[in-house]
Amino acid sequence: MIKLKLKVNGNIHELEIEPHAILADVLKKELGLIGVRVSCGEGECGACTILMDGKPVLACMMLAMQAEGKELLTIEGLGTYENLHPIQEAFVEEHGFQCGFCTPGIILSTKKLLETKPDSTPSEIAMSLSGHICRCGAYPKIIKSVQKAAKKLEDNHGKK
Amino acid sequence: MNNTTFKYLRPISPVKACELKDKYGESSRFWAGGTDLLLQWKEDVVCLDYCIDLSFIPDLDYIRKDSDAVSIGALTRVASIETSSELNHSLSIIREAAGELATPQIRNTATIGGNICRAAPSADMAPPLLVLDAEMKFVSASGERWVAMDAFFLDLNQTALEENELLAEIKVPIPPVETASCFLKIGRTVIDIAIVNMAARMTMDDRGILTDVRIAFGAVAPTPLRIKAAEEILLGTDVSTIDDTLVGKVSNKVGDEIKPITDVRGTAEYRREISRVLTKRAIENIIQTLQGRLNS
Ligand SMILES: Cc1cc2nc3c(=O)[nH]c(=O)nc-3n(C[C@H](O)[C@H](O)[C@H](O)COP(=O)(O)OP(=O)(O)OC[C@H]3O[C@@H](n4cnc5c(N)ncnc54)[C@H](O)[C@@H]3O)c2cc1C
Repeated sequence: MIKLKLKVNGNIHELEIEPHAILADVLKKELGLIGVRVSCGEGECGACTILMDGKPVLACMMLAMQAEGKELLTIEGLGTYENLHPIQEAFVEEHGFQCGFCTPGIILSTKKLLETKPDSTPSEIAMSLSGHICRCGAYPKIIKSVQKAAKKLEDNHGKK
Repeated sequence: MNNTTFKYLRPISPVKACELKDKYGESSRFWAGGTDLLLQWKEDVVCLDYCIDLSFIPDLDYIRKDSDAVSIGALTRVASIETSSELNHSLSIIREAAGELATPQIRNTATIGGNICRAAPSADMAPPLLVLDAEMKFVSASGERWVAMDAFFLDLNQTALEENELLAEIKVPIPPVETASCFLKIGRTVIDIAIVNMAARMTMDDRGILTDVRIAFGAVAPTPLRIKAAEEILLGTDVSTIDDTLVGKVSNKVGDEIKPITDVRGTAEYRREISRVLTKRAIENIIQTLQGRLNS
């Protein structure tokens, strides 16, 4: 076992893990953050996407040890059930999902996209979400949701 | 599926990392982004008793430009390359290749060094670095040496790096102004590894004579490689006289020289045909740019 200090959603956790533990497993099993979804486990589907220092990365494709000293954000740190983040609100309002399995990852990638390029076109949105597979095929509504989220964030003047 | 664990080591300098490699030899591996290594370890393809994590070494993640070259640290993330304004003009093919490598999330983790050192035939960063005559800086516990990109790939998954050496930097010389370049990739989807990828780069003198020609392909042989026999056909020709017959000759030469295989992504015949087509597209694209410059 090896010691690891992990900063997730603003909280610091002191953990003891196996050196080869995968970040996604540590977030889910040790910290109970089940919004980190693992589907393919091989970097293809994007369900396990989290933000590391603000950038989307795949939690299933890295060692937990690689994340030491970084700021991690999972969907649990974005909004709460009572107080959804504007991007989450937009996905609910536009039905940007069906089963919802891929949604946490897509919302986190959307956060980064809208910080970098709030006026993204539908094709830019599609390209920036190319690392996410939605097996329900909700893509058209996902793109609408992202556009609505952009509008909400603009109206809020980025208050959140 | 692999269930064994490994020792995790976190050196703080390239030399310290090489000392660990000297100590543990083949049972140890450098871990950069881990996007290749993690899967190889899970599938038990590589022996990994000691994981030497390079990501905590400062000073291996940079893109620096000086008067004659752009230097890229081996631990630079593919995503940083994709958005780097230092990689402009004929060096922009490095940026384009980075932008077509895997998915945005993987690009935030994967490093350029890992892409090259893994030496997959399809490595997207390889063709641009080959045609731009990049130089690779190897570091070991006892010193450093430079190796030309053209001498870097030896065989399938094999590079000129010795067991105890680490790739520290990739230095890309800035070509003369009258240079144009092109990167092309054909994949099943925008996020898949290449069925075929390629890059070309040509430099002309002030009369429009091609003084330097580079054509490199990936996923059509055990390693990414330059197609020198095809380059030679164009060398010394006048850009204003290059016609379909000559372009056809070059692309057929490429078809003859490559050794593609059939796999899930495509058949050997398909790869050969696509390679001919991509050669034509790349030459036409470059020649058009160069002719435009001659006439302006
Ligand atoms: C879903 C998916 C899609 C992908 N798509 C593509 C694609 O489209 N195009 C493409 O080219 N690749 C693709 N890849 C492969 C991979 O992501 C890239 O090759 C990546 O750049 C590897 O970098 P890394 O830092 O993660 O390497 P690692 O996995 O950390 O290392 C790879 C190898 O290089 C060695 N190594 C790393 N750095 C050094 C160094 N500085 N000195 C010496 N040895 C070193 C390691 O020991 C290891 O053997 C894909 C991978 C996945 C999982």
